[in-house]
Amino acid sequence: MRKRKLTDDEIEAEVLADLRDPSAWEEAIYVPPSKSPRPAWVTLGRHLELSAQFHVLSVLHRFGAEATLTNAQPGNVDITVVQAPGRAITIDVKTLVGTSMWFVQPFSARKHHYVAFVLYSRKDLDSPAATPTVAVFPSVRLKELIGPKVGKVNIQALARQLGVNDYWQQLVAHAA
Amino acid sequence: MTLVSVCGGFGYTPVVVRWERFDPDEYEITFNDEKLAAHEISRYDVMEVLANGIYVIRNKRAADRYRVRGRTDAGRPLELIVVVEGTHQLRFITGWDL
Repeated sequence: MRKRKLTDDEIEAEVLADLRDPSAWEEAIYVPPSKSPRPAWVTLGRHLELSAQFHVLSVLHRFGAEATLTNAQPGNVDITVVQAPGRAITIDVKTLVGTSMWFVQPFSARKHHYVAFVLYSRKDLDSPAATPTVAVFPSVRLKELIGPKVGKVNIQALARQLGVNDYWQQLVAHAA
Repeated sequence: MTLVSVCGGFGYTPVVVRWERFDPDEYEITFNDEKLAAHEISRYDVMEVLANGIYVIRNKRAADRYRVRGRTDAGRPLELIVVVEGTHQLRFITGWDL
């Protein structure tokens, strides 16, 4: 009798059940670093993440905001905008390529914290003149808009629900 | 390089990865983006971990399942759960920070 193929959820549940049982696992095998070059999509993805962060930073500076790119700061913070000593807004930058669908993942929702989605069109990736589409949400409002949904959400649809005409203005106005 | 063993009578064909010769470039790799994203893990993180040297631990109850431990380029330590779905086919279903 052929064994039924388990779903990812079922496999995850079984693995989690086994995690606390050392007898359920074999000895660890060490696999040395790969000598092959990484696939192009991997390196491109990382570059686009940085590109997205710098794009948001660049626009903020055009508006005179004291914005700084953070380095691996906890709490989903990629950019801080200092308003006054001890007072700042923070921005979490998410990158989407060739889609406006975002897999909902945990994000911080608090006052003065924003989530900026930078959407790259796949066909324009090679064009330096093309600018990505950006949608910026106050994190608390984004949490409300998503609600209990899991899986994918359409960022452009959520942006329409947010009803903000000028995404940058809400950041700059807040930062000013 | 993979070894395929057939358990006669059960129609069960576990595919075993020869991890000591593992090269991610030789595999078709798929991802459960939703489950990974729930732990703030991207496809890029998975691929970086695989490229950077890993420890692999096989499940005794289900020979096609492994825990993969390693670090991203930024040094983030991750444990990933991978299922061998066929010859040269891996599926990363979830993971978490170590």
